[in-house]
Amino acid sequence: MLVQDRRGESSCFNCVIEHHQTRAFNLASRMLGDWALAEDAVQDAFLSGYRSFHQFRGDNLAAWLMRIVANRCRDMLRSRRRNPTVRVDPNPGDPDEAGTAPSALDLPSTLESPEDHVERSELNRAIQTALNTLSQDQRLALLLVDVQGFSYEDAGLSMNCSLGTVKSRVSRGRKALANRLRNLGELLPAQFRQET
Amino acid sequence: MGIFGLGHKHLSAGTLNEYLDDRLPAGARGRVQQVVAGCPDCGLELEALRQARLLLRQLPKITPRRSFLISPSNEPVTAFPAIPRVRVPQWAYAGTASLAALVLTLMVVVDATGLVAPGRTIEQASDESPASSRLQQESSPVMMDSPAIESAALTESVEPASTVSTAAEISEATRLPDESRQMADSPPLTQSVEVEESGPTAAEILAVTRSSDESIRAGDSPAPTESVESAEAVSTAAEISEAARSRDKSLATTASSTAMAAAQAESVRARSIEATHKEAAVDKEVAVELTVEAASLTRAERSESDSMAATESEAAEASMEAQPDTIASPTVGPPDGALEQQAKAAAAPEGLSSATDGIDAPLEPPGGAQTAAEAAELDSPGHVPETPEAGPESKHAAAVDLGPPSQEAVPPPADAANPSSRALLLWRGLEGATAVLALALTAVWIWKRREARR
Repeated sequence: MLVQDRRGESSCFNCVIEHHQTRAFNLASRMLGDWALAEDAVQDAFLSGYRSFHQFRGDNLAAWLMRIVANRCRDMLRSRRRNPTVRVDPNPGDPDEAGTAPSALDLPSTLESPEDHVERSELNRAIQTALNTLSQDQRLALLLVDVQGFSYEDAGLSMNCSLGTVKSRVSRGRKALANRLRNLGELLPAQFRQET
Repeated sequence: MGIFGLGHKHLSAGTLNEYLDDRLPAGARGRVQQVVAGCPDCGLELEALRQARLLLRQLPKITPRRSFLISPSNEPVTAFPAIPRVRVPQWAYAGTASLAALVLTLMVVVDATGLVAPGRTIEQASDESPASSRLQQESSPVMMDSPAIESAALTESVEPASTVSTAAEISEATRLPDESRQMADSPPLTQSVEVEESGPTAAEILAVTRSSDESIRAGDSPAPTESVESAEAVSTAAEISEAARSRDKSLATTASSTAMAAAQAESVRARSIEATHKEAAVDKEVAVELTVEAASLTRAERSESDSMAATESEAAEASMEAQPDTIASPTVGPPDGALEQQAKAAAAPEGLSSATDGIDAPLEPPGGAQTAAEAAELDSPGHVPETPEAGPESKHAAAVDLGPPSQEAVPPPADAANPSSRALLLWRGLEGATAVLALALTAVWIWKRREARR
């Protein structure tokens, strides 16, 4: 499926999808906190990108795609707030959810002990819970800069805002997240525990 | 950095974050390192930010369970081409609502200044609304059906006519305006049903008119019925002849008074027609009723004179049979001259007939004297349906053609037919639509704002 951007350069859009779908799905799942909604959001975002690829100016494809995914996640959050839904099935890869039994494919690797695996899972869940308490803009800024490894400029392109706005959002987000993680206490690994 | 923190200002979270992300220049980076090394609070804050950043970076990557590749078969199939969704900003609703309110204000101002319908104000237009005109149409017959109002209008019309005493005034009064001639020449309309319904009222009108006519006849002339009764009381031929002479005089007086009454009635009619053109529809109806009254009066007087002539001829025949010698004498013979005068008077002489032509034209052949047979023809049931309750006066009144139809019988044209009224109504409709549009846009704008705040 060849597509052309505004400059006339042709690209294989499915190749673009294969290259960015993991990043897009991570961003969507961290933003939404629901893997099913994240899958729908990513699929809709790629379809929308395919239809509007002729508007892409060719500077930063990852930032352009993440922008589409972020906008789609915002729309879904808005619609979910208007029509609240209850998740029936647990997130994949989350064996601690009630009513689910780990399959053979989901067995933990042998590189870490079961205790470590549980601690890691709990820590990830706590981080995700802390992320969900942030505002959408601060959450998106932290996900783009700290999780996805985007620079401030690329994050500004994805968030459609200026560099100063990105800095302030990242700073406030990190501070709020640190305050929340401080309350976790012993749940944090030893290297993350602060002695007061 | 001073002792006990005096002169020291803690580093901001933004500066510490830029220090963590290596976005500070070399000089600023050295100063931050010095502050963090000397200030435990700034060091703890920097450490907390670094841990949060590290925790976020070590979050595991979630592998999607399915691929998001797009194939042509994945394209959504729609029966109709997708309509691009247009997002209208909130200020567009507010701006359009403000514009509609401004247009509405301008329209109201233009309406208030009367530029839409020149010569009409808002109050006039509201008074001339179809509902109010309908109310006027419904209330006008009620007003004219009341006998008190009718009699008052009648006395107002008759009283000026009684002041006409000279021949010059009579001739002036008998000059019909063009409109009244057109009324007389136009095809007659027999409103028999309406006259039957208002039979008692017509009888009252006739009685009032008779009383006024009797006062006009200068009082000294005896009434014809009284003279006939006196003639019947006389038994001798001389008395009969004297009574016949007096009857001749009274007949002549009756004929002249009939003509004067007709002239007066015509003057009343002319005045009423003038008032019709000046006044409202109520005056028009009064004028029509007065015309009916005048015609019935004339016919009643003529029927009286005819009956008196018949009575006189019977009396003369009786006297001739009783005393043939006396009857043969030329002095006591039948009063040919008086009878001729009576016939001329019955035929409405030329000097005064102009006043009665307008009334009698629809009733009798032009220029011909109305005989008893013609009157019987006019009073026949073929002309007017007879009702047992109606008296002879009402029958005569019912048989009279009313000339042109009165405008009260025809419903007035609707107010909406007036171009200015239609323009005003259209303008009011546009004002209402603009107001509704402004209100709707304001409501949408408020709703959009509330949705956005959520």
